[in-house]
Amino acid sequence: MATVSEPVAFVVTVKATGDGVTVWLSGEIDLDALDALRQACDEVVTLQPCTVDVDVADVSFIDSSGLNSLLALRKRCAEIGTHVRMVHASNQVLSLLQMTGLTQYFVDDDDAGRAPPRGSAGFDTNGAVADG
Amino acid sequence: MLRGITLSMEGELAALSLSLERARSTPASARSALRHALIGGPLDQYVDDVLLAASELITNAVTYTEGGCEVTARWSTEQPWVRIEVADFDHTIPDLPAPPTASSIGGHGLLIVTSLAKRWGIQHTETGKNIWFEMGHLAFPRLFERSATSAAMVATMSVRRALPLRRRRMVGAWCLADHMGPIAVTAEHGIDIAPHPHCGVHTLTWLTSGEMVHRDSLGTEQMIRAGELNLMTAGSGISHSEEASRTFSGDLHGVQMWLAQPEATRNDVGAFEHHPTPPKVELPNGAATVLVGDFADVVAPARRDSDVMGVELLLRPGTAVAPLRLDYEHAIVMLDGDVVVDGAPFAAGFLGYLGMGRDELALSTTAGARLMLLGGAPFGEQIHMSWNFVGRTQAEIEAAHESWSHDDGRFGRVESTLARTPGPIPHR
Repeated sequence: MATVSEPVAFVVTVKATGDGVTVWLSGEIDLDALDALRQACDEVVTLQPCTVDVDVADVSFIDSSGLNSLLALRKRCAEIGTHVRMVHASNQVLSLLQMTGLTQYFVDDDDAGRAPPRGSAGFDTNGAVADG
Repeated sequence: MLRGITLSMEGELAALSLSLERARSTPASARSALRHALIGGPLDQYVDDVLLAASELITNAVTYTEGGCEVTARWSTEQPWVRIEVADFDHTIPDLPAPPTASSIGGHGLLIVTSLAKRWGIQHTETGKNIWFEMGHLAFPRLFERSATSAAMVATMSVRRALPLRRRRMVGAWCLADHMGPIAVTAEHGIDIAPHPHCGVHTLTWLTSGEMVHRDSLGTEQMIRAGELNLMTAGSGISHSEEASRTFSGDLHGVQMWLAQPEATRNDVGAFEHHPTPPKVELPNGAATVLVGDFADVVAPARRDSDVMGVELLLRPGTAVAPLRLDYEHAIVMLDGDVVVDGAPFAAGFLGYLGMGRDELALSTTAGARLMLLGGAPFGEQIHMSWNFVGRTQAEIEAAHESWSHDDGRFGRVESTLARTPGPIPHR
Protein backbone atom coordinates (compact mmCIF):
# COMPACT_ATOMS: atom_id res chain seq x y z
CA MET A 1 0.00 0.00 0.00
CA ALA A 2 2.74 2.42 0.92
CA THR A 3 5.21 1.56 -1.80
CA VAL A 4 6.49 4.63 -3.53
CA SER A 5 6.96 4.60 -7.27
CA GLU A 6 8.89 7.21 -9.15
CA PRO A 7 6.62 10.10 -10.05
CA VAL A 8 5.58 10.45 -13.66
CA ALA A 9 8.07 12.50 -15.59
CA PHE A 10 6.84 15.61 -17.31
CA VAL A 11 7.70 16.59 -20.84
CA VAL A 12 7.81 20.10 -22.27
CA THR A 13 8.10 20.34 -26.07
CA VAL A 14 8.18 23.51 -28.18
CA LYS A 15 7.01 23.08 -31.79
CA ALA A 16 6.88 25.81 -34.43
CA THR A 17 3.66 25.64 -36.48
CA GLY A 18 3.52 28.21 -39.27
CA ASP A 19 3.02 31.65 -37.66
CA GLY A 20 2.59 30.19 -34.21
CA VAL A 21 4.21 27.97 -31.67
CA THR A 22 2.75 25.10 -29.70
CA VAL A 23 4.12 24.40 -26.24
CA TRP A 24 3.11 20.82 -25.61
CA LEU A 25 3.00 19.74 -21.98
CA SER A 26 2.68 16.21 -20.71
CA GLY A 27 2.68 14.56 -17.27
CA GLU A 28 2.68 16.33 -13.91
CA ILE A 29 3.37 20.04 -14.12
CA ASP A 30 4.47 21.32 -10.73
CA LEU A 31 7.46 22.91 -8.98
CA ASP A 32 9.79 20.41 -10.62
CA ALA A 33 8.83 21.66 -14.10
CA LEU A 34 9.99 25.20 -13.32
CA ASP A 35 13.33 25.06 -15.16
CA ALA A 36 11.97 23.17 -18.15
CA LEU A 37 9.20 25.72 -18.56
CA ARG A 38 11.63 28.61 -18.18
CA GLN A 39 13.77 27.11 -20.95
CA ALA A 40 10.71 26.60 -23.13
CA CYS A 41 9.84 30.22 -22.51
CA ASP A 42 13.29 31.33 -23.72
CA GLU A 43 12.85 29.25 -26.89
CA VAL A 44 9.41 30.68 -27.56
CA VAL A 45 10.58 34.26 -27.15
CA THR A 46 13.49 33.61 -29.52
CA LEU A 47 11.06 32.34 -32.17
CA GLN A 48 8.94 35.53 -31.86
CA PRO A 49 5.67 33.87 -32.87
CA CYS A 50 2.33 35.67 -33.32
CA THR A 51 0.51 33.18 -31.09
CA VAL A 52 1.40 30.48 -28.59
CA ASP A 53 -0.85 27.52 -27.90
CA VAL A 54 -0.13 25.76 -24.63
CA ASP A 55 -1.49 22.28 -25.24
CA VAL A 56 -2.36 20.65 -21.93
CA ALA A 57 -4.24 17.64 -23.30
CA ASP A 58 -1.71 15.21 -21.81
CA VAL A 59 -1.26 16.99 -18.49
CA SER A 60 -2.23 14.52 -15.76
CA PHE A 61 -1.74 16.99 -12.92
CA ILE A 62 -1.09 20.69 -12.55
CA ASP A 63 -0.96 22.82 -9.42
CA SER A 64 -0.44 26.52 -8.78
CA SER A 65 3.33 26.20 -9.28
CA GLY A 66 2.67 24.84 -12.74
CA LEU A 67 0.19 27.66 -13.39
CA ASN A 68 2.71 30.21 -12.12
CA SER A 69 5.22 29.01 -14.69
CA LEU A 70 2.59 29.40 -17.39
CA LEU A 71 1.75 32.88 -16.09
CA ALA A 72 5.43 33.77 -16.38
CA LEU A 73 5.39 32.51 -19.97
CA ARG A 74 2.31 34.62 -20.67
CA LYS A 75 3.96 37.74 -19.20
CA ARG A 76 7.14 37.40 -21.25
CA CYS A 77 5.14 36.75 -24.42
CA ALA A 78 2.98 39.79 -23.74
CA GLU A 79 6.15 41.89 -23.72
CA ILE A 80 6.83 40.94 -27.35
CA GLY A 81 3.15 41.18 -28.34
CA THR A 82 2.49 37.48 -28.50
CA HIS A 83 -0.90 36.08 -27.46
CA VAL A 84 -0.87 32.92 -25.31
CA ARG A 85 -3.82 30.62 -24.90
CA MET A 86 -4.33 27.25 -23.34
CA VAL A 87 -5.86 24.50 -25.44
CA HIS A 88 -7.35 21.12 -24.64
CA ALA A 89 -7.72 21.92 -20.95
CA SER A 90 -9.19 19.09 -18.91
CA ASN A 91 -11.79 19.73 -16.24
CA GLN A 92 -9.06 19.56 -13.58
CA VAL A 93 -7.12 22.33 -15.28
CA LEU A 94 -10.24 24.42 -15.88
CA SER A 95 -11.39 24.18 -12.28
CA LEU A 96 -7.93 25.09 -11.02
CA LEU A 97 -8.03 28.19 -13.25
CA GLN A 98 -11.45 29.03 -11.85
CA MET A 99 -10.35 28.66 -8.23
CA THR A 100 -7.36 30.91 -8.75
CA GLY A 101 -9.29 33.44 -10.82
CA LEU A 102 -6.92 32.96 -13.76
CA THR A 103 -9.39 31.59 -16.31
CA GLN A 104 -9.57 34.85 -18.30
CA TYR A 105 -5.80 34.89 -18.77
CA PHE A 106 -5.58 31.53 -20.47
CA VAL A 107 -8.88 30.42 -21.91
CA ASP A 108 -10.88 32.03 -24.70
CA ASP A 109 -14.43 32.94 -23.71
CA ASP A 110 -16.18 30.07 -25.48
CA ASP A 111 -14.12 27.51 -23.53
CA ALA A 112 -14.35 29.20 -20.15
CA GLY A 113 -17.80 27.99 -19.20
CA ARG A 114 -16.85 24.36 -19.45
CA ALA A 115 -15.49 23.81 -15.95
CA PRO A 116 -18.14 22.10 -13.88
CA PRO A 117 -18.91 23.29 -10.37
CA ARG A 118 -16.80 21.68 -7.63
CA GLY A 119 -17.85 18.21 -6.71
CA SER A 120 -20.11 17.65 -9.70
CA ALA A 121 -20.28 14.34 -11.46
CA GLY A 122 -17.94 13.68 -14.33
CA PHE A 123 -14.84 15.11 -12.70
CA ASP A 124 -11.97 13.66 -14.68
CA THR A 125 -9.90 11.32 -12.57
CA ASN A 126 -8.06 9.61 -15.40
CA GLY A 127 -4.99 11.71 -14.95
CA ALA A 128 -4.63 10.97 -11.27
CA VAL A 129 -4.36 7.24 -11.74
CA ALA A 130 -2.13 7.32 -14.80
CA ASP A 131 0.88 6.03 -12.89
CA GLY A 132 -1.05 3.87 -10.45
CA MET B 1 12.65 13.70 -1.66
CA LEU B 2 11.43 11.11 0.84
CA ARG B 3 13.45 10.86 4.05
CA GLY B 4 11.11 8.36 5.65
CA ILE B 5 7.66 6.83 5.46
CA THR B 6 5.50 5.02 8.02
CA LEU B 7 2.03 3.56 7.75
CA SER B 8 -0.12 2.57 10.71
CA MET B 9 -3.67 1.34 11.25
CA GLU B 10 -5.97 1.75 14.22
CA GLY B 11 -9.40 0.26 13.63
CA GLU B 12 -10.71 1.81 10.44
CA LEU B 13 -8.35 4.76 10.68
CA ALA B 14 -5.09 4.65 8.79
CA ALA B 15 -2.19 7.04 9.07
CA LEU B 16 0.71 7.68 6.73
CA SER B 17 3.67 9.83 7.75
CA LEU B 18 6.12 11.19 5.23
CA SER B 19 9.33 12.91 6.13
CA LEU B 20 10.27 15.08 3.18
CA GLU B 21 13.44 16.94 2.35
CA ARG B 22 13.60 20.30 0.66
CA ALA B 23 13.74 19.65 -3.08
CA ARG B 24 11.77 20.61 -6.18
CA SER B 25 10.88 16.98 -6.75
CA THR B 26 9.39 16.67 -3.25
CA PRO B 27 5.77 17.59 -4.08
CA ALA B 28 5.65 14.92 -6.81
CA SER B 29 7.17 12.26 -4.51
CA ALA B 30 4.66 13.08 -1.79
CA ARG B 31 1.71 13.02 -4.23
CA SER B 32 2.83 9.65 -5.50
CA ALA B 33 2.99 8.20 -1.97
CA LEU B 34 -0.37 9.72 -1.02
CA ARG B 35 -2.01 8.54 -4.23
CA HIS B 36 -0.89 4.96 -3.65
CA ALA B 37 -2.20 5.05 -0.10
CA LEU B 38 -5.57 6.66 -0.84
CA ILE B 39 -6.63 5.34 -4.23
CA GLY B 40 -9.03 2.42 -4.49
CA GLY B 41 -10.87 3.17 -1.24
CA PRO B 42 -13.88 5.21 -0.15
CA LEU B 43 -11.90 8.38 -0.82
CA ASP B 44 -11.71 7.97 -4.59
CA GLN B 45 -13.97 10.93 -5.31
CA TYR B 46 -11.67 13.18 -3.24
CA VAL B 47 -8.25 11.90 -4.27
CA ASP B 48 -7.63 14.49 -7.01
CA ASP B 49 -8.59 17.34 -4.69
CA VAL B 50 -6.52 15.91 -1.81
CA LEU B 51 -3.45 15.59 -4.02
CA LEU B 52 -3.85 19.12 -5.36
CA ALA B 53 -4.33 20.71 -1.92
CA ALA B 54 -1.49 18.65 -0.42
CA SER B 55 0.74 19.57 -3.36
CA GLU B 56 0.08 23.26 -2.71
CA LEU B 57 1.00 23.04 0.99
CA ILE B 58 4.10 20.93 0.37
CA THR B 59 5.20 23.25 -2.43
CA ASN B 60 4.85 26.21 -0.07
CA ALA B 61 6.89 24.39 2.58
CA VAL B 62 9.76 23.54 0.25
CA THR B 63 9.65 26.94 -1.49
CA TYR B 64 9.43 29.27 1.50
CA THR B 65 10.95 27.32 4.40
CA GLU B 66 14.11 25.36 5.13
CA GLY B 67 14.41 21.93 6.64
CA GLY B 68 11.81 20.17 4.54
CA CYS B 69 8.50 19.15 6.03
CA GLU B 70 6.62 16.35 7.75
CA VAL B 71 3.38 15.28 6.10
CA THR B 72 0.78 13.20 7.92
CA ALA B 73 -2.28 11.79 6.22
CA ARG B 74 -5.05 10.21 8.26
CA TRP B 75 -8.00 8.62 6.58
CA SER B 76 -10.75 6.09 7.06
CA THR B 77 -10.64 2.82 5.14
CA GLU B 78 -14.45 2.64 5.48
CA GLN B 79 -15.69 6.19 5.06
CA PRO B 80 -14.82 9.06 2.73
CA TRP B 81 -12.74 11.18 5.11
CA VAL B 82 -9.15 12.36 5.10
CA ARG B 83 -7.07 14.80 7.11
CA ILE B 84 -3.72 16.02 5.82
CA GLU B 85 -1.20 17.91 7.95
CA VAL B 86 1.91 19.58 6.59
CA ALA B 87 4.31 20.60 9.36
CA ASP B 88 7.35 22.72 8.57
CA PHE B 89 10.16 24.26 10.59
CA ASP B 90 9.36 27.93 10.12
CA HIS B 91 7.19 30.01 12.43
CA THR B 92 6.14 32.50 9.74
CA ILE B 93 2.42 32.29 9.19
CA PRO B 94 1.49 32.83 5.53
CA ASP B 95 -0.82 35.64 4.51
CA LEU B 96 -4.38 34.47 4.41
CA PRO B 97 -5.61 34.06 0.88
CA ALA B 98 -7.01 37.11 -0.85
CA PRO B 99 -10.03 36.80 -3.13
CA PRO B 100 -9.01 35.66 -6.59
CA THR B 101 -7.93 38.70 -8.60
CA ALA B 102 -4.42 37.67 -9.37
CA SER B 103 -2.65 38.46 -12.51
CA SER B 104 0.31 38.51 -10.17
CA ILE B 105 2.43 35.38 -9.95
CA GLY B 106 2.28 33.29 -6.81
CA GLY B 107 0.19 33.24 -3.66
CA HIS B 108 -2.49 30.90 -4.96
CA GLY B 109 -1.57 27.83 -2.96
CA LEU B 110 -3.50 28.51 0.24
CA LEU B 111 -6.41 29.89 -1.77
CA ILE B 112 -6.71 26.53 -3.52
CA VAL B 113 -6.58 24.68 -0.21
CA THR B 114 -9.33 26.85 1.26
CA SER B 115 -11.47 26.40 -1.85
CA LEU B 116 -11.18 22.62 -1.81
CA ALA B 117 -11.14 21.76 1.90
CA LYS B 118 -14.15 21.30 4.14
CA ARG B 119 -12.16 22.45 7.17
CA TRP B 120 -8.63 23.77 7.43
CA GLY B 121 -6.40 25.57 9.89
CA ILE B 122 -2.94 26.67 10.90
CA GLN B 123 -1.31 25.77 14.21
CA HIS B 124 1.81 27.27 15.73
CA THR B 125 4.01 24.44 16.92
CA GLU B 126 7.20 24.47 18.95
CA THR B 127 9.28 23.85 15.84
CA GLY B 128 7.32 25.87 13.31
CA LYS B 129 3.78 25.54 12.08
CA ASN B 130 1.33 22.90 11.00
CA ILE B 131 -1.18 23.57 8.23
CA TRP B 132 -3.98 21.03 8.01
CA PHE B 133 -7.13 20.39 6.01
CA GLU B 134 -9.90 17.84 5.97
CA MET B 135 -12.14 16.59 3.18
CA GLY B 136 -15.18 14.37 3.36
CA HIS B 137 -16.89 13.40 6.55
CA LEU B 138 -16.54 10.81 9.28
CA ALA B 139 -19.61 9.45 11.01
CA PHE B 140 -19.82 6.93 13.81
CA PRO B 141 -22.79 5.62 15.74
CA ARG B 142 -23.48 8.64 17.92
CA LEU B 143 -22.09 7.42 21.22
CA PHE B 144 -23.15 9.17 24.34
CA GLU B 145 -22.62 7.86 27.85
CA ARG B 146 -23.37 9.72 31.03
CA SER B 147 -21.66 8.00 33.96
CA ALA B 148 -21.41 8.85 37.63
CA THR B 149 -17.82 8.99 38.82
CA SER B 150 -16.71 6.45 41.40
CA ALA B 151 -15.45 7.35 44.86
CA ALA B 152 -11.78 6.61 45.42
CA MET B 153 -9.36 7.37 48.23
CA VAL B 154 -6.03 9.05 47.57
CA ALA B 155 -4.07 9.16 50.82
CA THR B 156 -6.74 10.48 53.19
CA MET B 157 -8.60 12.41 50.52
CA SER B 158 -11.73 11.19 48.78
CA VAL B 159 -11.76 11.94 45.02
CA ARG B 160 -14.33 11.59 42.24
CA ARG B 161 -12.77 9.12 39.81
CA ALA B 162 -14.03 9.81 36.29
CA LEU B 163 -11.56 7.41 34.67
CA PRO B 164 -11.25 4.50 34.73
CA LEU B 165 -14.89 3.48 35.21
CA ARG B 166 -16.17 -0.02 34.72
CA ARG B 167 -17.67 0.70 31.31
CA ARG B 168 -15.15 3.30 30.22
CA ARG B 169 -11.52 2.50 30.92
CA MET B 170 -9.78 4.97 28.63
CA VAL B 171 -10.38 7.97 26.37
CA GLY B 172 -7.50 8.14 23.90
CA ALA B 173 -4.42 7.67 26.08
CA TRP B 174 -6.21 9.16 29.13
CA CYS B 175 -6.40 6.32 31.64
CA LEU B 176 -7.14 8.11 34.93
CA ALA B 177 -8.94 11.31 35.89
CA ASP B 178 -9.43 12.16 39.57
CA HIS B 179 -11.43 15.24 40.50
CA MET B 180 -10.19 16.37 43.91
CA GLY B 181 -11.71 18.89 46.28
CA PRO B 182 -12.60 21.51 46.97
CA ILE B 183 -10.88 20.42 50.18
CA ALA B 184 -9.66 22.70 52.99
CA VAL B 185 -5.89 22.65 53.46
CA THR B 186 -3.57 24.56 55.75
CA ALA B 187 -0.04 25.79 55.21
CA GLU B 188 1.28 22.82 57.19
CA HIS B 189 -1.14 20.13 56.07
CA GLY B 190 -2.03 19.82 52.42
CA ILE B 191 -3.36 16.75 50.72
CA ASP B 192 -0.10 15.18 51.97
CA ILE B 193 0.35 12.44 49.43
CA ALA B 194 3.54 10.72 50.57
CA PRO B 195 6.30 9.59 48.18
CA HIS B 196 4.93 6.88 45.91
CA PRO B 197 6.08 5.36 42.59
CA HIS B 198 4.81 5.50 39.01
CA CYS B 199 5.73 3.85 35.75
CA GLY B 200 4.40 3.97 32.19
CA VAL B 201 2.37 7.17 32.59
CA HIS B 202 2.44 10.94 32.43
CA THR B 203 0.70 12.46 35.44
CA LEU B 204 -0.88 15.87 34.90
CA THR B 205 -1.85 18.03 37.84
CA TRP B 206 -4.12 21.01 37.27
CA LEU B 207 -5.43 23.15 40.10
CA THR B 208 -8.36 25.55 39.83
CA SER B 209 -7.68 26.87 43.33
CA GLY B 210 -5.01 26.42 45.95
CA GLU B 211 -1.32 25.65 45.98
CA MET B 212 0.83 22.64 46.73
CA VAL B 213 4.39 21.45 46.35
CA HIS B 214 5.52 18.66 44.07
CA ARG B 215 8.73 16.79 44.92
CA ASP B 216 10.11 13.94 42.85
CA SER B 217 13.01 11.52 42.59
CA LEU B 218 14.62 13.63 39.86
CA GLY B 219 15.28 16.20 42.57
CA THR B 220 12.47 18.49 41.44
CA GLU B 221 10.77 20.72 44.00
CA GLN B 222 8.03 22.71 42.29
CA MET B 223 5.27 24.84 43.73
CA ILE B 224 2.10 24.52 41.68
CA ARG B 225 -0.63 27.17 41.85
CA ALA B 226 -4.07 27.46 40.34
CA GLY B 227 -3.79 27.92 36.58
CA GLU B 228 -0.44 26.13 36.32
CA LEU B 229 0.24 22.67 34.96
CA ASN B 230 2.60 20.02 36.29
CA LEU B 231 3.39 17.22 33.89
CA MET B 232 5.50 14.36 35.20
CA THR B 233 6.67 11.57 32.92
CA ALA B 234 7.24 8.33 34.77
CA GLY B 235 8.78 6.26 31.97
CA SER B 236 10.50 3.21 33.47
CA GLY B 237 10.19 4.56 37.00
CA ILE B 238 9.88 7.69 39.12
CA SER B 239 8.50 8.58 42.54
CA HIS B 240 6.97 11.79 43.86
CA SER B 241 5.03 13.42 46.65
CA GLU B 242 2.35 16.12 46.77
CA GLU B 243 2.68 18.22 49.89
CA ALA B 244 1.53 21.32 51.71
CA SER B 245 2.77 24.58 50.21
CA ARG B 246 3.91 26.07 53.57
CA THR B 247 2.20 29.31 52.51
CA PHE B 248 -1.32 28.56 51.32
CA SER B 249 -4.33 27.79 53.43
CA GLY B 250 -7.80 27.61 51.96
CA ASP B 251 -9.59 25.45 49.43
CA LEU B 252 -7.63 23.15 47.16
CA HIS B 253 -9.53 22.16 44.02
CA GLY B 254 -8.30 20.48 40.88
CA VAL B 255 -7.79 17.38 38.89
CA GLN B 256 -5.05 14.82 38.46
CA MET B 257 -5.03 12.91 35.22
CA TRP B 258 -2.84 10.21 33.73
CA LEU B 259 -1.88 9.59 30.16
CA ALA B 260 -0.66 6.08 29.35
CA GLN B 261 2.70 6.28 27.61
CA PRO B 262 2.90 4.43 24.30
CA GLU B 263 5.26 1.52 23.77
CA ALA B 264 7.75 3.85 22.08
CA THR B 265 8.40 5.94 25.22
CA ARG B 266 7.15 4.01 28.22
CA ASN B 267 10.60 2.70 29.12
CA ASP B 268 12.33 6.07 28.76
CA VAL B 269 13.81 7.85 31.75
CA GLY B 270 11.52 10.00 33.90
CA ALA B 271 11.04 13.72 33.33
CA PHE B 272 9.20 16.67 34.80
CA GLU B 273 7.71 19.82 33.24
CA HIS B 274 6.07 22.82 34.87
CA HIS B 275 3.99 25.10 32.66
CA PRO B 276 3.11 28.33 34.47
CA THR B 277 0.90 29.74 31.72
CA PRO B 278 -0.69 27.17 29.41
CA PRO B 279 -2.12 28.89 26.30
CA LYS B 280 -5.72 30.10 26.30
CA VAL B 281 -8.38 30.25 23.58
CA GLU B 282 -11.39 32.56 23.75
CA LEU B 283 -14.70 30.98 22.78
CA PRO B 284 -18.12 32.56 22.52
CA ASN B 285 -19.41 32.36 26.12
CA GLY B 286 -16.23 30.87 27.46
CA ALA B 287 -12.50 30.31 27.44
CA ALA B 288 -10.36 27.24 27.05
CA THR B 289 -6.96 26.60 28.59
CA VAL B 290 -5.01 24.17 26.44
CA LEU B 291 -3.08 21.85 28.75
CA VAL B 292 -1.89 19.25 26.28
CA GLY B 293 -2.21 18.71 22.55
CA ASP B 294 -4.09 21.17 20.37
CA PHE B 295 -7.48 22.81 20.48
CA ALA B 296 -8.89 25.36 18.04
CA ASP B 297 -5.45 25.46 16.38
CA VAL B 298 -3.67 26.45 19.60
CA VAL B 299 -0.97 23.97 20.52
CA ALA B 300 0.09 23.45 24.15
CA PRO B 301 3.85 23.35 24.74
CA ALA B 302 3.50 20.37 27.10
CA ARG B 303 5.05 17.09 26.07
CA ARG B 304 2.72 14.55 24.52
CA ASP B 305 3.74 11.10 23.45
CA SER B 306 0.53 10.14 21.67
CA ASP B 307 -2.33 11.77 19.79
CA VAL B 308 -4.23 13.41 22.66
CA MET B 309 -5.67 16.71 23.74
CA GLY B 310 -6.83 18.04 27.09
CA VAL B 311 -8.32 21.46 27.83
CA GLU B 312 -10.11 23.12 30.70
CA LEU B 313 -13.29 24.87 29.61
CA LEU B 314 -14.53 27.76 31.73
CA LEU B 315 -18.00 28.63 30.51
CA ARG B 316 -20.14 31.70 31.05
CA PRO B 317 -23.93 31.39 31.04
CA GLY B 318 -25.14 30.59 27.52
CA THR B 319 -24.01 28.17 24.87
CA ALA B 320 -20.41 27.54 23.88
CA VAL B 321 -19.35 25.47 20.92
CA ALA B 322 -16.02 23.66 21.14
CA PRO B 323 -14.38 22.48 17.91
CA LEU B 324 -13.48 18.79 18.01
CA ARG B 325 -11.36 16.52 15.89
CA LEU B 326 -13.40 13.97 13.98
CA ASP B 327 -10.83 11.23 14.44
CA TYR B 328 -10.55 11.63 18.23
CA GLU B 329 -12.83 10.16 20.85
CA HIS B 330 -13.76 12.77 23.48
CA ALA B 331 -15.11 12.96 27.01
CA ILE B 332 -16.00 15.68 29.50
CA VAL B 333 -15.21 15.60 33.20
CA MET B 334 -17.26 18.09 35.19
CA LEU B 335 -15.49 20.13 37.88
CA ASP B 336 -17.97 22.86 38.74
CA GLY B 337 -21.37 24.23 37.73
CA ASP B 338 -23.73 22.55 35.31
CA VAL B 339 -23.88 21.98 31.57
CA VAL B 340 -26.31 20.36 29.19
CA VAL B 341 -24.78 18.22 26.43
CA ASP B 342 -26.93 16.38 23.88
CA GLY B 343 -29.92 17.17 26.08
CA ALA B 344 -28.42 15.53 29.19
CA PRO B 345 -27.53 17.49 32.33
CA PHE B 346 -24.05 17.26 33.84
CA ALA B 347 -22.66 18.45 37.15
CA ALA B 348 -19.57 17.65 39.23
CA GLY B 349 -19.36 13.90 39.71
CA PHE B 350 -20.16 12.96 36.13
CA LEU B 351 -18.24 11.80 33.10
CA GLY B 352 -19.71 12.28 29.64
CA TYR B 353 -18.27 10.07 26.92
CA LEU B 354 -18.86 11.38 23.40
CA GLY B 355 -17.24 8.83 21.09
CA MET B 356 -15.66 9.68 17.75
CA GLY B 357 -16.88 11.39 14.60
CA ARG B 358 -17.97 14.71 16.10
CA ASP B 359 -16.53 17.93 14.74
CA GLU B 360 -17.96 20.14 17.46
CA LEU B 361 -19.60 20.02 20.85
CA ALA B 362 -22.30 22.42 22.03
CA LEU B 363 -22.33 23.03 25.78
CA SER B 364 -25.13 25.03 27.41
CA THR B 365 -25.00 26.33 30.94
CA THR B 366 -27.36 28.50 32.95
CA ALA B 367 -24.99 29.54 35.74
CA GLY B 368 -21.57 28.88 34.24
CA ALA B 369 -19.41 25.78 34.46
CA ARG B 370 -15.88 24.48 34.66
CA LEU B 371 -14.99 21.17 33.07
CA MET B 372 -12.21 19.20 31.44
CA LEU B 373 -12.53 18.21 27.79
CA LEU B 374 -10.31 15.22 27.08
CA GLY B 375 -9.75 13.58 23.73
CA GLY B 376 -7.45 11.46 21.68
CA ALA B 377 -7.03 8.84 19.03
CA PRO B 378 -8.12 5.49 20.46
CA PHE B 379 -5.10 4.08 22.30
CA GLY B 380 -4.05 1.07 20.28
CA GLU B 381 -2.31 -0.81 23.09
CA GLN B 382 -3.80 -2.96 25.85
CA ILE B 383 -2.67 -1.65 29.21
CA HIS B 384 -2.54 -3.20 32.67
CA MET B 385 -3.15 -0.73 35.50
CA SER B 386 -2.49 -1.59 39.12
CA TRP B 387 -2.02 0.87 41.97
CA ASN B 388 0.29 3.54 40.51
CA PHE B 389 1.71 1.37 37.79
CA VAL B 390 0.81 1.12 34.13
CA GLY B 391 2.30 -1.71 32.13
CA ARG B 392 1.39 -4.27 29.52
CA THR B 393 1.50 -7.54 31.47
CA GLN B 394 0.77 -8.73 35.00
CA ALA B 395 4.43 -9.78 35.28
CA GLU B 396 5.54 -6.18 34.63
CA ILE B 397 3.18 -4.92 37.32
CA GLU B 398 4.46 -7.50 39.82
CA ALA B 399 8.06 -6.56 39.04
CA ALA B 400 7.21 -2.90 39.72
CA HIS B 401 5.61 -3.75 43.07
CA GLU B 402 8.67 -5.82 43.89
CA SER B 403 11.06 -2.98 43.08
CA TRP B 404 9.11 -0.51 45.20
CA SER B 405 8.75 -2.77 48.22
CA HIS B 406 12.46 -3.65 48.12
CA ASP B 407 13.43 -0.07 47.37
CA ASP B 408 15.90 -1.34 44.77
CA GLY B 409 16.53 2.09 43.26
CA ARG B 410 14.29 1.79 40.20
CA PHE B 411 11.95 4.49 41.50
CA GLY B 412 14.62 6.66 43.11
CA ARG B 413 14.17 8.67 46.29
CA VAL B 414 12.14 11.75 47.11
CA GLU B 415 13.46 14.35 49.56
CA SER B 416 10.32 14.65 51.64
CA THR B 417 9.33 15.08 55.26
CA LEU B 418 6.53 12.61 54.59
CA ALA B 419 7.31 8.95 55.12
CA ARG B 420 7.58 6.85 51.97
CA THR B 421 4.30 5.07 51.11
CA PRO B 422 5.03 1.50 52.17
CA GLY B 423 3.26 -0.47 49.49
CA PRO B 424 0.11 -1.06 47.52
CA ILE B 425 -2.85 0.83 48.81
CA PRO B 426 -5.87 0.98 46.53
CA HIS B 427 -5.20 4.38 44.91
CA ARG B 428 -2.43 6.39 43.36
